[in-house]
Amino acid sequence: MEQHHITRLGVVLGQGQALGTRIFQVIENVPVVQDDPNAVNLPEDGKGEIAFEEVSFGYKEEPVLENITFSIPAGNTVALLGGTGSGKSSLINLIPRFYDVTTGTVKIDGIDVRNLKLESIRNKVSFCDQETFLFSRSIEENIAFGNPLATKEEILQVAKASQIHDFIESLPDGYKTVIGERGVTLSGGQKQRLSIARALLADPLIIIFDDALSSVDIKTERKIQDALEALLKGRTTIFITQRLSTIKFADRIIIMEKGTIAEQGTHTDLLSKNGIYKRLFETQIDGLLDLEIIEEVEDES
Amino acid sequence: MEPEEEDFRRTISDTVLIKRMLKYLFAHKKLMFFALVMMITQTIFFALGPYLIKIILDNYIAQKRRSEFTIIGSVYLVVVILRVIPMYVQRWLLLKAGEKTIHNLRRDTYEKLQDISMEYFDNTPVGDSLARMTTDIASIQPIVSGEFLMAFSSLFMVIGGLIVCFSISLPLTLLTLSLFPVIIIFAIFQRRFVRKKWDDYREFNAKYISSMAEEISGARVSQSFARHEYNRLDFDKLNEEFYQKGVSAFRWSSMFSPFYETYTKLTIVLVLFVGGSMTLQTQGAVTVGSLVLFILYLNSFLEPLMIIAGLYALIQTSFSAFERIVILLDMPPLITEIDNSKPLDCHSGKIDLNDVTFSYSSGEAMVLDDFSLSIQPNECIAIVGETGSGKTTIISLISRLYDIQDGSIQIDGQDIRNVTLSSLRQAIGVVLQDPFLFSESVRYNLCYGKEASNEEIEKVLKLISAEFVYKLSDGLGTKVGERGGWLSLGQRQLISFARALITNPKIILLDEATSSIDPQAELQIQRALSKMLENRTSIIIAHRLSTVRAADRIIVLDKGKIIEEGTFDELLAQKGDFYNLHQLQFRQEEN
Repeated sequence: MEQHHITRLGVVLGQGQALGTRIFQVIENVPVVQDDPNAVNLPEDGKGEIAFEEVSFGYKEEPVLENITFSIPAGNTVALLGGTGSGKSSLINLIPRFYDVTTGTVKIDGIDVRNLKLESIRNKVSFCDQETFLFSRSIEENIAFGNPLATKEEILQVAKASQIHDFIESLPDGYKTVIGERGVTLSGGQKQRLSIARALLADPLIIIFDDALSSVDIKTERKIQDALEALLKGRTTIFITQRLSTIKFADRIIIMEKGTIAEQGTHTDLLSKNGIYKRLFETQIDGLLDLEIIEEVEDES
Repeated sequence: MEPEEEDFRRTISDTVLIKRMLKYLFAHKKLMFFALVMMITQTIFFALGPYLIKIILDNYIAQKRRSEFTIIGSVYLVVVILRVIPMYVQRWLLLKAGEKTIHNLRRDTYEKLQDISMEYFDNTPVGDSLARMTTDIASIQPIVSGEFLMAFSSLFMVIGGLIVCFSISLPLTLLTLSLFPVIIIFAIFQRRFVRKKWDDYREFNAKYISSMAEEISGARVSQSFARHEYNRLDFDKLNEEFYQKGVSAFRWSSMFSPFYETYTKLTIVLVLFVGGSMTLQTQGAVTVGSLVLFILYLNSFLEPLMIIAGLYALIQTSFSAFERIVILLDMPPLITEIDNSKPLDCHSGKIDLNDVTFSYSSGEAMVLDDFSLSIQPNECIAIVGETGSGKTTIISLISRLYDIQDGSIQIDGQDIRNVTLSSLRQAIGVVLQDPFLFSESVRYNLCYGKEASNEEIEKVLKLISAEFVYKLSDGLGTKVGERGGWLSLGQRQLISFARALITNPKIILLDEATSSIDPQAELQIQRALSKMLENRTSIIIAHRLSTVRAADRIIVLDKGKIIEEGTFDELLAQKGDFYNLHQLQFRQEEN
């Protein structure tokens, strides 16, 4: 048969070379972000203090962040506010080293993140993203994604705190329900609540909510916030948010504008400054803010 | 099991698959006709070769006619050389037909995926469709690119060879044919065992691709949870199983070549043995020349037979893949247009939902049960309700992404099942919760629903204060990255707003899209929307007080039922659920 002829070797080799090149491009690609040979683990008794020192950063030479300096004491909660494209998401991407800074340093517990083992950082930093990515596995596995050894009790605990337990129980297979199968599609809000449960179960030192409650209705948001209060104790927390209702949690507020920090301080500080925050605050009151929350914030500060 | 899943697992008989494949191959009639002519020419030249050798042996060598030997030798040489030309042309034509078949299969599967209902996408992992469109199609390449058609030329040669063999020696031919059933039994055995293995293999291939597609999309989640080790363990398991399936399929497939090789050689040995003793009987029945001739023809008859048999083995691997493609192609689109459906005449934008009953798949809880709602032309309806109350479903049903199980949905008195899908969807501008952008330019995304001039684009962008587009590095030409990932979510939402408005639809359906835009941008959009909603019917799912207040009518939805409806003031006065919701969600400073 013709395919056995040795003359075919040339054709086959040519095809193989073309395919092989593409495969080896992937295999030999050197990750830009990788462990330094002398990288260390975060200390076991890490507290989760975050410090940005004169950080600048850009994608493809386009500067996104410029000269950012701030620190978050361990266990504190910070609300990060800012308009579309102000650099909030880029800023938090630098903490778990999804990208490396262009200049300056990002430190966790006083150690430059570039001197830490990636796995050690990422074990201690959890994310709840704006858009939740879930895997087509069971709900249980999705919640335990960052902590596959978690017990059923731990899973139930975080699911309840995230106000998603009742919904999961209402599904035909409960926690064993496989996402994406047989039309099991979740609404944006349900996905976000699962992502909160997932982040909590990883038991992180630092937890970042990137507009993670945007698709949850305010009633549910409040329930989640109440439940979160206890669970976030002792963890350094960053909330990126558009809703001022979330600032109820924050020890401090950072306002970003065009890649720089425009204002930072407590709610009272910022209101007295008569700047962006005040304007933002008034806009939202004008729009939709819950009176109770404002009162609470004002009482607390 | 749902019917569509059954459809997906059903098997198609080989006869049907062969017919379908031939239909694709013979779509290029001229090409195929020419190839057929070349095939016959090649066969004739091919059949001529051994006959010339017999003549050389018996008439020239045996009779020592040395002087004429050069002439007959040259004739043989020319025949051999001439045979090569149609061989090349035929092979090239067949490969071309094969590539065209692949091309058309790609086109057909793509078109199928364009038409197929949302229900399919809800139930099928992305990777499964990807596998059908890429690796499954690629793995039928060997058979359509020539091999399948080579069987035809082989068939000619088998028949031609058989006729010649009969004319040379009847007993020797019958002897050869007596061994034939062995091949048939073996082929049946092969069909049964190998096909199953390859079906498993191809199915696993789809699973593998699905898993990898998801792994790559979820890279950020995996990295942020430091899943490296666990993912590797999962992957190793998957990869090992994939390997085992491949090995097991090839273990069976590999048996065939050696088997057929043994079969043909045994046949020749038998013919030599029997035929040889026949020449020794010196009754002149069989000369040495005709024995050699017989064996030469036997070879040219057994070899194509082996090609056919080998092809049968090859077909098993490729037909597993082809079957998966045909199943996809034959899937009925659940949302279909009726015969003689007319374009929607959407002059006023009145929407009626009459006793609508719907669940996402049979056997699952009803999302809407006997739901009725009538929306007047140019009315703006705000739907309020908890997550899972059915808000998004209502919007999906009006744009007919799913068909309802009972009741009817009408736009300007026309049942949406009776109008063309394209006219229906053109009349409706949808802004989804998660703004999906394509990895093209901003302009491409804005004009996704309709080509528009720069002026039109500018007008829309201005209206919703999305002029930020012009400040991007390449303005309208700026690439947005996969799913629009190079833009912030707020920017993506603004673009998806503009995209919906650019088609100038009579009806606007807005699904919670405002929830993540910063307050300033939202105020701008609120203002712009109120302008845009003039002279349009709209349904808005909103959590925002300003939206709810601006609406002509508010509907409070709970578990697929309307529990309250009325204007903002009416509902507040009722002191019912909306009042409570408002107390919690919307209470604000009255200034």
